[in-house]
Amino acid sequence: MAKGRHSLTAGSVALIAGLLVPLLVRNPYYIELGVQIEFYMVLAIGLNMVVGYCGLLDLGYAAFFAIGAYTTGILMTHLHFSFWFCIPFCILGAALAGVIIGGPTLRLRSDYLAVVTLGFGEIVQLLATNLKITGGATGIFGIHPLRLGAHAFSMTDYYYMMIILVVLGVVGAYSLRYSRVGRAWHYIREDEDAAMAMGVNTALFKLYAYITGAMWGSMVGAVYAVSMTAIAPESFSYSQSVLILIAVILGGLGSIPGVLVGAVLVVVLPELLRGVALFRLLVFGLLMVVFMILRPQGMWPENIRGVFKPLVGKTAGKKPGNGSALSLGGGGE
Amino acid sequence: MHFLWQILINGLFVGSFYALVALGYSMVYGIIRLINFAHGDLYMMGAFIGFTVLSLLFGKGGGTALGLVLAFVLAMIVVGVLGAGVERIAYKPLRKAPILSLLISALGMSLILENGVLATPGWGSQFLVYPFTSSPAGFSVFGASITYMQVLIFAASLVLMASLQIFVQKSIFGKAMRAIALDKDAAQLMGINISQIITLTFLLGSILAGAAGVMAGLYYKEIDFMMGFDIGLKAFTAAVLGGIGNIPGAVVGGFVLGVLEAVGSAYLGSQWENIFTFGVLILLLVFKPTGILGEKIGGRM
Amino acid sequence: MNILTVENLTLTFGGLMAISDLSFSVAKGQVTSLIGPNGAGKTCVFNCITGFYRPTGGRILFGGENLVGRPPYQITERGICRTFQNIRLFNALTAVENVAAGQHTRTGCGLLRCLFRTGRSRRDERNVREKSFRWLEFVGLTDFYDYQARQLPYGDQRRLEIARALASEPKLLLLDEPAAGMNHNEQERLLALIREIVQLGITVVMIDHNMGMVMQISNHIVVLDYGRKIAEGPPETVRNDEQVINAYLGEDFDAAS
Repeated sequence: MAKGRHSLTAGSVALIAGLLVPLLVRNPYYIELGVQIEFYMVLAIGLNMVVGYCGLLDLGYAAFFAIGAYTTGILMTHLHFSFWFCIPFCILGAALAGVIIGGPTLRLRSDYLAVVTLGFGEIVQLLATNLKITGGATGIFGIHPLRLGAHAFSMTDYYYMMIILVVLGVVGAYSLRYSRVGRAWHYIREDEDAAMAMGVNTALFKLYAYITGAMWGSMVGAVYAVSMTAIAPESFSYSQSVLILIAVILGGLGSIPGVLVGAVLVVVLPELLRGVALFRLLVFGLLMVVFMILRPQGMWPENIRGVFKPLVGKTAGKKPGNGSALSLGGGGE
Repeated sequence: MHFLWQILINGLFVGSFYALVALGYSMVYGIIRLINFAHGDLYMMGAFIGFTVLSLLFGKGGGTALGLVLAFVLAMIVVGVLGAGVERIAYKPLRKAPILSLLISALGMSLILENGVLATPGWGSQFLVYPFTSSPAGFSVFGASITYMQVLIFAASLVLMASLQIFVQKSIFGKAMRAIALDKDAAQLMGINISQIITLTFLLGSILAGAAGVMAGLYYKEIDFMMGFDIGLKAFTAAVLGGIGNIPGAVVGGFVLGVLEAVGSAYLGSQWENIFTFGVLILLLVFKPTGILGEKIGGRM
Repeated sequence: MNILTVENLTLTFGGLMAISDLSFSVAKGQVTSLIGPNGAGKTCVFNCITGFYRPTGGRILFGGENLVGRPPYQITERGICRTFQNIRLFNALTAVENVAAGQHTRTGCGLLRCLFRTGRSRRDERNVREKSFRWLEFVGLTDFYDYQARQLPYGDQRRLEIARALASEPKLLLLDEPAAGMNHNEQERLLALIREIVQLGITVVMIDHNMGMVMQISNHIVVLDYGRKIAEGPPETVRNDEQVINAYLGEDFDAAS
């Protein structure tokens, strides 16, 4: 319990600090950096459900981000939809794509999924580059920013909006982790056959994980489109997918605080290494190999032991023996 | 009609690169069930090493047959050793780890190779023109024009594939490889040095990828540090198409994919070429994941 | 009363016959053992019953329903659960979260209920937790509830796997070599545990090589050799069966019992 309270405190402190940043920092560069970190945070939270919770290596996560961004961009510029009205379409589009890609391939060995998702990511980016409706290589621009009455959203407003999204993501991810669905995902990650033997419909639950990640990613894409007001295919490339994945892996597969830290790292490290920008992905590649060999659980691993606690302190003072177990009525239904 | 015929011929040439790279994927997958994401990048390394050797020898152009042979041999040796090194450093320590860790390590290795080349002075990010001027002389077969260079490349790739097949079928090492692919534990009990054979598998696959890289440089006349990414996906598609883990399958898959792609992009437009290929991959995995010559996947119990 | 009836079960792997025309029944509330030399097809029988392998022919009747063709999760739902020959726990998860896996089919919250923590999902969670701890206690592992499965000693891992299977509230429990690798003390504890399980009204089918244990605890024994049934009956009958002794020749059958 104590440990859980510690991370709650740490989380609240981080949140308050995050809320204060725009008041203390006036430099717009830092606000923009903050927004960028927030985008990687929410994307990492979504990808973590697929890779960290369920153990499915998705190398095309940016595709869902793209689906959300382009759906919003197209609906807002061509059909003059309001932003909020776009969101259901984004989610629907991502879910549909997720079912089409994931439905059949999730039955296969999980490493095949890595290649299929990689190919899917490429297809989406190529389509965005080559179709007319997506604006080709230049993309879509002139997406109207969000408004509250007469006030058009500034970068700082988006910063706060994204904090809400981060908090929603964290709460959602924790809710799932401590639930039947989240546990089923972990069982699949640990041993798919054993999970099946324990009654988990593995194909269905893998699809759940993949689609949950997809819908979340597309929603983030929608926010990305309005906040940037312009989108282009290169924001949804393979390296984008890999960067999100790096945040999840280096932070700690399956660990919420871990992936948040990972997202900070993914944005801040290249900024620190500005003089040697060429080495950015080289450094990340090295870190991936080194981490897998020396510390596969990542920088801030999940607190596995905190997941399941006895109801009241210990096991409610029940003495060992079959007396209490008999009341479970294992045989009779 | 002539048009189609020319396309088929071109498809076969490209297919031979795919086949050479697909062999590496297939062999590694067959023996340790790993999709080696760094494999496409080894092909790219081959192209760059060939580039450096040829530049040192000939400056910006020209070239002799002997120089070409030297470029091939050096690229094959360096890339072979590099591939085996990648296995020793990044994969061997993870042999007992979950497959996810191994895949991530492979992905990291791929980033290291790509960005290592990007950061190397003289290689860098721009397209490099291959410093070898081959004579445009050639001949025509039923109206399709073919250069002598293309014939040379094609013949070389066939020789490499045949040598590999003979090595795997006849040599004691090849037998050990096949034994490990069938049953690792039993192979170990029979006294086969598993580690050594796995490294050898990577060495062989990388040698072929290195050679394919030089060939690609000669054929396309232009190279860049991301060239391994596309071919990685395509060669993997070819390996799956032929039935992964199966050596003749990888070759057949490579040629079939090369031709399919050439025809597809001729009729749909070349900007759709990759969409076509990845579409083939996804449909293939959905409807016939065992490929043309492959056996059943699964049965892990 | 038979809880499970296997009729003419046949399983071939590309021409190789793993099980041929096997029939036997499992009486409710009893312990039935499948024995036979290595490679006799015992685990294959388990894999067929639990839906991991699809038999080439035959029927597997459970509660009047043919299970052949059903996926494993539906079979677990219907009340059959198993352990594995080479322990298959969720290694990185804690002991108690492993046991909670059993409750998966006994709870039904989907994605949305879990995401929004509805009343039902909270109730389910409390239930799952309570039951998981109780089953952990049943096998005597309460003190190790927050240990990762891989940190437990071998014998405890076996018992944890049994607790996980029991948590699925099975009517029929399949134990695949539960005593493998156990020392004498651990075996004694296991015997006691199996007796307690039977007392709960759960039917047990077990594969084991330890003849002493099999003879002691089984009500009924089915002997397989090369995928065929060569004998069947209560321990005394099987012990003296000539074919059985021949099949086991060289394995010192008498000494083992």
